[in-house]
Amino acid sequence: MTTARALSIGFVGNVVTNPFGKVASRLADLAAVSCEHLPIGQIEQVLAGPAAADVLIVHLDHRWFFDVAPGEAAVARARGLADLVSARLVRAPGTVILNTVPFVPVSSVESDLHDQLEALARVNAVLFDLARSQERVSVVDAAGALALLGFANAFRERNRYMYQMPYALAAVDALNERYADAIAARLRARRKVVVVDADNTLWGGVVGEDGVENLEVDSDYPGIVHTQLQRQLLRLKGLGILLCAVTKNNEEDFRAVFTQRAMPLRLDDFVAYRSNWTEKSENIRDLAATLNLGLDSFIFLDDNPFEIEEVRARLPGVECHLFDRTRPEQALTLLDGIASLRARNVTAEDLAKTEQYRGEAQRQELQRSAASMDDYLASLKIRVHVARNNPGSLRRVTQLINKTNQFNLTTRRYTEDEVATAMQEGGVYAARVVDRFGDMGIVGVAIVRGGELETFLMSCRALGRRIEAQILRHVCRQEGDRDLKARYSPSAKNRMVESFLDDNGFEPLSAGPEGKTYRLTRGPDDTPYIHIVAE
Amino acid sequence: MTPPTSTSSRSESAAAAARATLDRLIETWGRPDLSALGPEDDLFDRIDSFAVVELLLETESEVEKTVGHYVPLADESILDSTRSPLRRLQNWFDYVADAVARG
Repeated sequence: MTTARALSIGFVGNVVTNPFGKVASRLADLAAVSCEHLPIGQIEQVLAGPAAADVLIVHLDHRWFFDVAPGEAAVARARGLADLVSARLVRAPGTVILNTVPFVPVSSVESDLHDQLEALARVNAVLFDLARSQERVSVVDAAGALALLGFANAFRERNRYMYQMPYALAAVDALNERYADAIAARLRARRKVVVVDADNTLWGGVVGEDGVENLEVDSDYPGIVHTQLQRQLLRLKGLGILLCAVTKNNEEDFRAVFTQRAMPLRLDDFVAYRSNWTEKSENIRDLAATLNLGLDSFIFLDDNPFEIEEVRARLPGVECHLFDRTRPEQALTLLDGIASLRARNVTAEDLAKTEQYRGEAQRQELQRSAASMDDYLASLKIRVHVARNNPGSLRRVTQLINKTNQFNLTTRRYTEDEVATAMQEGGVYAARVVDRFGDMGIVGVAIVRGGELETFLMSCRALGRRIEAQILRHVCRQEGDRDLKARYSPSAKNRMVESFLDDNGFEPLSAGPEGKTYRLTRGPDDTPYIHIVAE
Repeated sequence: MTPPTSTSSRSESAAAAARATLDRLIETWGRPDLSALGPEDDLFDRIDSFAVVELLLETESEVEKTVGHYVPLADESILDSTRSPLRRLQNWFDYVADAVARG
């Protein structure tokens, strides 16, 4: 979770936007939100005008694109809108949120209806293309949200024409939920791991009692419920989520299910699992240590309310969900409804994560067998590729800045625009770590501007190998500023870096409740087994 | 909640729902000055047209919950500065009750 921050939201639309102001309360745990409702109908003027808000929500119903039936002119209007938004993004910071067009075409002529449906899809496609090419654009699925509610319950046609407010309150609530999700996905760190129980969750039945062959996991009810859950988990894995399993079973029984039954999930789809008779909270804690992830990265799914309560009570940071196989209509919408799994997009880094964490587990095995820590670290053959001011790393650098809490000297958050500005005004270093077990991707960021190291952070998964000190050494040498200043600003989570600068050749200048300031003296010692490759 | 059955009790409940909705919105809008309004007072001059739309939307929803079905409240008189029932607060509650009575 990111630190609470001030966030301004501007609304403009061809409908009265005031009821959308309630989105602020849905974001209260993430930001102190202020709302401004801009003049109704002034879409082009607002988009072409100065940026006044961190987030601009542009809500358009179908009447902005067409009068009675979507056609080529509506597609052209959408393209015009996309051009206006793109031009604004070049000119001004902030995020723009658009919406799919909530409209059900009707016609007395079948072919005309098909043409309308196609045109409507093309209008939406223009918006999706825009979001694909512009990181700072989101498109919420207003049409989908209102369809789930039922268009008859969602629309108030009399109000649309009399008051420019076409939605029932329930529809406004549904839209506000989508807006809040879209904004929250940009503000908070996504949970990374889904830990799933096995018996009566991954499959129906208890493997140790019923036997592998009698487990329900197939294409008929009730086995289809478990098959579908596995398919959903597999899809989540494809979207960058790590899968783990914890189960109270003999390990050989658990493994046998994967070798003897044809199921969507294979054993190696899980980055790690624990099959034993230990409390599940202990096993999840152990998984967190193995993966070098905080418990607040974890989601736990189990069919047993007792296990859910056990984990919830002992590991309050873990988000727990009951998987009730007897209510498939709820159980199979469970994963889609978990807000903390949502993200604006999935980077290549996210998708490579499964392999990276598997590599981490292998490193731990090697560490256990090495004669000494130095032998172990030297055997990893670590190379750190450090790029300075590389615009190609902008997205990943911003993502890392906004989700790293523990090894973070200042916990200062930046938007993508602010990182781009820092690249122009100083040095933004992105460090990618590679060792014999694989490419960990960009795991370290340093920002130096105005003679000060204003940000220095490392992903936890790369810690414990002196990589961080070697990167700092490289940054100090590159900057060539003998008087480089630095700062440690304490937060609730960054105690681990409290003495990092003291330990790496920086001299304290001042100390107080706001933290400590430093001046570079000799800098960090060289760590010969870590090779820096400047890019 | 079980919807009231007789027409008069439905109307009374709807009027009460309209009052409760206004009280809630006064809090949402951060307009404690409106809490002091009595049944003879003018609401129309004290809120803008967007707030009127919000009041209408919220009242429709609350009435729907109270009487068990959707009752359209929109009418061209509401935003009419001379004819609006919001010119006298009690008229607004009566207007809502009448709309429910008419079905």
